[in-house]
Amino acid sequence: MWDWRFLGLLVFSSTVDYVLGRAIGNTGEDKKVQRKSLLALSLIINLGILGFFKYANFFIDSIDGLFTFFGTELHISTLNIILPVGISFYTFQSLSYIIDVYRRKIEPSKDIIAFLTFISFFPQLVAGPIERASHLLPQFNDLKKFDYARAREGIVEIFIGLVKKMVIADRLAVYVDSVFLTASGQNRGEIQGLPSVLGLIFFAFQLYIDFSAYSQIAVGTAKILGFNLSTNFRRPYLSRSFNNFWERWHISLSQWMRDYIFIPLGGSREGRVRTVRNLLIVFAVSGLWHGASWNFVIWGIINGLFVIILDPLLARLKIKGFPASVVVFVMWTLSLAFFRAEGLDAALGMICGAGFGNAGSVLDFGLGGNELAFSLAMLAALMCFEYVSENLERKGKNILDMLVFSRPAWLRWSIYMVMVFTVILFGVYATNNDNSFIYFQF
Amino acid sequence: MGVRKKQKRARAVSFKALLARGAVLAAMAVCIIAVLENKRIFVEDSANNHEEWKWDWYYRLKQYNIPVDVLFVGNSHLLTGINPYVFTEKTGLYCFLLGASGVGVADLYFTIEEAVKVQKPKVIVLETYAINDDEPYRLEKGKLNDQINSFRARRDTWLKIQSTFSLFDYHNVPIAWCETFRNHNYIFTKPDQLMRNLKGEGPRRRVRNDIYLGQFARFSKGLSPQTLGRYESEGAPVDGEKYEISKSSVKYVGKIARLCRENGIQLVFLTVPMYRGHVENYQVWHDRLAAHISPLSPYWLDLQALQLTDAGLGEVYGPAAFQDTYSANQHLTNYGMAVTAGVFAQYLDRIMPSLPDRRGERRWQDFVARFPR
Repeated sequence: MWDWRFLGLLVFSSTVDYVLGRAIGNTGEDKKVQRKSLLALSLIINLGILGFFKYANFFIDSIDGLFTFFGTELHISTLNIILPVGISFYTFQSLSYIIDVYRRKIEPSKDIIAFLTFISFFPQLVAGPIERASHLLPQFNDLKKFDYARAREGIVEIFIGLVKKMVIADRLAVYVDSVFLTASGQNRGEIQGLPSVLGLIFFAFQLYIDFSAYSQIAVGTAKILGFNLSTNFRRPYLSRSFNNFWERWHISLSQWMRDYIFIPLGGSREGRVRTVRNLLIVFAVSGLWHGASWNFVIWGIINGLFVIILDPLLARLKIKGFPASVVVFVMWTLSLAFFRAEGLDAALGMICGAGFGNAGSVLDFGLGGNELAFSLAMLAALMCFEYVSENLERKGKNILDMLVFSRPAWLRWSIYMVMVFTVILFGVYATNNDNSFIYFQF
Repeated sequence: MGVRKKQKRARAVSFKALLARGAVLAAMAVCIIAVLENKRIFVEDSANNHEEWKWDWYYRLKQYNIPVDVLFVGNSHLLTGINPYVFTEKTGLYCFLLGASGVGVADLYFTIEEAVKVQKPKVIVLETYAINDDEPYRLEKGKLNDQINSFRARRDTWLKIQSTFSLFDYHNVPIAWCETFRNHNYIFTKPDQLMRNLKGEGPRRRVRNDIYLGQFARFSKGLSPQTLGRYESEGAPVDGEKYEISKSSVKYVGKIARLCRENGIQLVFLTVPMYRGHVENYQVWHDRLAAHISPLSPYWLDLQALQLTDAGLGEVYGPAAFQDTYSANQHLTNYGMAVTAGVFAQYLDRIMPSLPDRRGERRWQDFVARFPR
């Protein structure tokens, strides 16, 4: 949630990291304890703030629940805390900086304005990509020159993001919200068969399209301003394994987890058991990063288990290509029931209720026949676009260059107009729905 | 010319080119939307376009040289609360009801501003139910539609432009101004209507040619024994303790009072009643409202309070006068609106005896003779 007072929080944690980064940089290798203390101080402050604002109530509830389980009623009341917008993202960005300075991978920033801008860079502040200082920080020192071609590319990326968000994701959201609301309510019995399947599949696509659209808008906006942001999604639903999936989904977070948790824990170099342990820790933390709830932790652990168990199984059974993509997508989609549902009962209800019966009630969840057909057509079109794009990329070609930028002016302009009117005429707006980006809540 | 200067110029041209191309693209999009708007492609058929009728007839009265002596302004509580035909016949005055269901006092201010540009009424009667509404730019989502209907029905374009950001949050502005944005989902939900509109066969709008003075006769059935029983068993659904006046209400009621003063118009407040068992702690409500409006006008007919204290009035406002509902928003029935018109006519006669009595005028008699019976 946004409140101007949270600006103080952002300035405080950034300034602390700037000062501590300089201090770590100025401390020689011989003063290891001092360097470690400074790093620890930064970690305590950053994770303390994140922990308080995001996890305080979760821990209170969990402790209360634990004591209740053992027969002691504590009745601890939860705190009235508002989650500052973007806190999970900018805290991780700030942490990556301080750890990289500690590891001497980068020099500490000497320019406080550049550093504060790096932490609060508006296109990606709210929902990433989580940038590394080594990638983004030096860009603030370059003299920016207006580049027409880049700006044009940025604008087209923004429009593609808007089409994805407003035309596809927000329409799927109508169905998903209705299905999951019913699943967590008294009429959960209605979520049987096809509505459950559609609800889960639509949520898998909504989540991907919504988040990747935001990333695309962020990348496009930064591009117009002359900055390069990291790619956050690389067609994850074409993945052939779970390992591959996490190389394509929310890439900036996956890489963060790899570099700052998985590898320091020992990575995959210390035997099978250690690797499994490390993976489960990483995925549990990743789940917890998404939200302060056991649902997210379970979702994270399930995905860890997919990597640990299903990837070797796919390899052993020699399931490759399209069938492997289908397996990955189906299992991922089922895991998302825990991500989206209110409570474990609702999540399990969604999974257990999935099937192909109850087709008659498919249209009872907010989307009429026309809109449902349109949504399915848009999803098919999107997957075809991604498939072609993937194949072209292997050949070193860019689909946007081929479809748009290399075309004659009249065709380019027609495409621009089609994009504008696709948003105006087919976008979901002027409704009572809350159309915020999903990842804003993290 | 130096290389740096050349590069600088090339960049400037390049940036200008982007802006120019963006402007051309935007202009093309605006032109297409203007065509869609002009052809009313995204407008639905309507047989009950009350807001349009109201302004149509208000302007027609001007055209027919019929002066509006008393202008009533308010939301649905007023529109279902005063029968203008009864009031006209009882007072010998010309009157008109402006306003729209669900709107707040900010909208009413702009309604009055347009109204006094067209006609100069002697009295403006502001029904108080709209005064407790929320900040206009934070409209509850359900009310947005009502607000847009009222806004779109007004005719003074310049005033609409001026009032836009007072009435709508910035992201609702395109929806407020443009039916294409507002109703674009007809592509999925009303394709038949869209096809008719594209063929030029729609949208169909009902025009009222009988004399229309802005009322909204809607409820014919009074309180049922079941609902009366709920008052007994569950108590009142509305609590006067919860009544609050928003900052915007204070601002816009003040502006209405100033506008009336500047135009030599007498402002009168009217509170149309709900059933006596419908509101508890009404005195708290009354006192909060009084603190707000009493400095702005000496005249306030609070029928909610009066029906509790005046036995005769309490009898007149029996169950038959009120809409059969236990929900917070209770309106008057057709019978109730006729009663209120009569009671307010007596009140106005008492406080402003100098208002003209046009019953002797031929034009007034002809006008009344054409009232729908």
